[in-house]
Amino acid sequence: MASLSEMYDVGWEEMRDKLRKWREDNCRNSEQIVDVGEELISEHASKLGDDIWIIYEQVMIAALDCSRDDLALTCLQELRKQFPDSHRVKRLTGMRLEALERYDEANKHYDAILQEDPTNTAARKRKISILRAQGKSTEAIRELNEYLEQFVGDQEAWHELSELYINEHDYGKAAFCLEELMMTNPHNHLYCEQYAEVKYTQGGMENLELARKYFAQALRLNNRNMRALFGLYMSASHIAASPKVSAKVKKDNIKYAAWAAAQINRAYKVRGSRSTRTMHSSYSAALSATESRVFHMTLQSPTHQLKKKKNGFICCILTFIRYLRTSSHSVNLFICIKLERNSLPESASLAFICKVVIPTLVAFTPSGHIYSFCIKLRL
Amino acid sequence: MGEVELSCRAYVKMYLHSCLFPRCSINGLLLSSSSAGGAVCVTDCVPLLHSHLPLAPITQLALTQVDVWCAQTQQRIVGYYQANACASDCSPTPCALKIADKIAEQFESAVLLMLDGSKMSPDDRVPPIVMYERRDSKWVLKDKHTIMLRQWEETQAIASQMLESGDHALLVDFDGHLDDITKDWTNQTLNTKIAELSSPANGNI
Repeated sequence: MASLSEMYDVGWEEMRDKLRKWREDNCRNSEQIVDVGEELISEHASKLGDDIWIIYEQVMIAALDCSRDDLALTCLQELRKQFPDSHRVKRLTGMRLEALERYDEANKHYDAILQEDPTNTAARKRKISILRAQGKSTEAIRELNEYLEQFVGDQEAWHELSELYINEHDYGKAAFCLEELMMTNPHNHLYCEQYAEVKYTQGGMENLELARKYFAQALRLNNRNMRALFGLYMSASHIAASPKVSAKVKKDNIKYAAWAAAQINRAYKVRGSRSTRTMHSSYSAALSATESRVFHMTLQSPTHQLKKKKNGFICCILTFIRYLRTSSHSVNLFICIKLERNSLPESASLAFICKVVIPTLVAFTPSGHIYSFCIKLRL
Repeated sequence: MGEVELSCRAYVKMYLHSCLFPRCSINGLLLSSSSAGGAVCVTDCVPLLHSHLPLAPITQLALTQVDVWCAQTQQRIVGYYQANACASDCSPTPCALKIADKIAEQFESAVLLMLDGSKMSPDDRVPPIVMYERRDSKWVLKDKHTIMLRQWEETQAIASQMLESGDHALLVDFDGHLDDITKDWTNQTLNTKIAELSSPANGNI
């Protein structure tokens, strides 16, 4: 079987640099690390100098991830020879025991490290990982909370805790962990977006508003984050569709939803490949279905005197039709006119519909669009 | 209740999805292109997520998009599958039950499929599948004799072969699509490959 260096025409320096890059980026591409690292160690060990020890560690962990115990043991033995009393190497021994599912032995190992050095964070985190692997989420959460009381700045631990809480459906506490992460990493769009998702899942008007704000923040930090864009659209639409919000809030959220929808459509048009073009059109249909719902709300806002509202009414319809142009599927338009008591009589409102609404729709709707509309008069 | 048949394409894609993300919980939807009534024939599947399965927004979005795509391609969503990160635990999680309930609202004979991670090696003879059906608003284990996988050995062989040759890297789930929208979550290329590998004798793909 041809070696990697022959297949891809790379020298040992490139392989070593690749491994360093993966180390720095903390990638978990274990199969690749094992392929590259195994060849580097077996063929070019002498050329690596002192780098070899850290490479042994990296390859060993990757080998455990791929169930390559043979390779892991080789690396471990080399490291043990070179660093006989090192806690770092002892942690690797413990990890190997974990990989072989010998959790009790692994725990004893970590306890021994902690006896000698109570501040050893690596051993404590491995113990928590064992709890997680055994499915003992409540204990893992408890231990992790205790750990974080001592080591408040450990980002990795906060993120792990937020994941544990999400899996337990304890969204309030997950949000708290993500808040800690956002405070210390204000420029990280992924934390903002994850926080927004948790808030959205919690539900309720306040949380939806927060979700929308944080989706928007994530977009400000990275305007290519599709999840944030979709999230913004969905949270704004839900707020606008709720009967409990004021007219101004409704109007604002419709604007946000419309903006997000336009951005999504543009992203698919610009970046979508041919195969995703069908996805885009299917999504347009879904957007249209919800867009019509969104506009239903606009038109339902209480009319005072129909004459006064006529211009506003026409503006709403025109805005809606502008969005019809971007979609390519049939849309259901519901027009609901709510009349207040002692306002214009029924006949006048019907006349308004016949003389204003329908002609506007007919005049401005692009041809080829099929729309059905249902007009309800609510008295 | 009724019989359920799992096609080669659906099984292979589920298998490859779980192999692509061996350290995460994964989930997806089961689709059928045959008409309603009689046996439920799962002909395809759409891999959805591999991170933060219990969070609502992306799941809702994915369900809408798949729904719309199904309406266009004369398919319907007939079930939900999930594989837990912990390979030894194949019991349905609360979020799995919730999503399956939602699907059952639209389709009565919906199925909930859990992949059993401990039985997925090529040496295992039995399909690593645990299926649940809805009876009296609760999800109960389905009788194994009502689950059919035509030409199981061949399906298993195709799945192993594609894993060996690294084809699982071609699979795109909805999460992957959101990371890069040029990727196709309907996995047409993979469908073609699976069709090529299965013998002409295998009728229902």
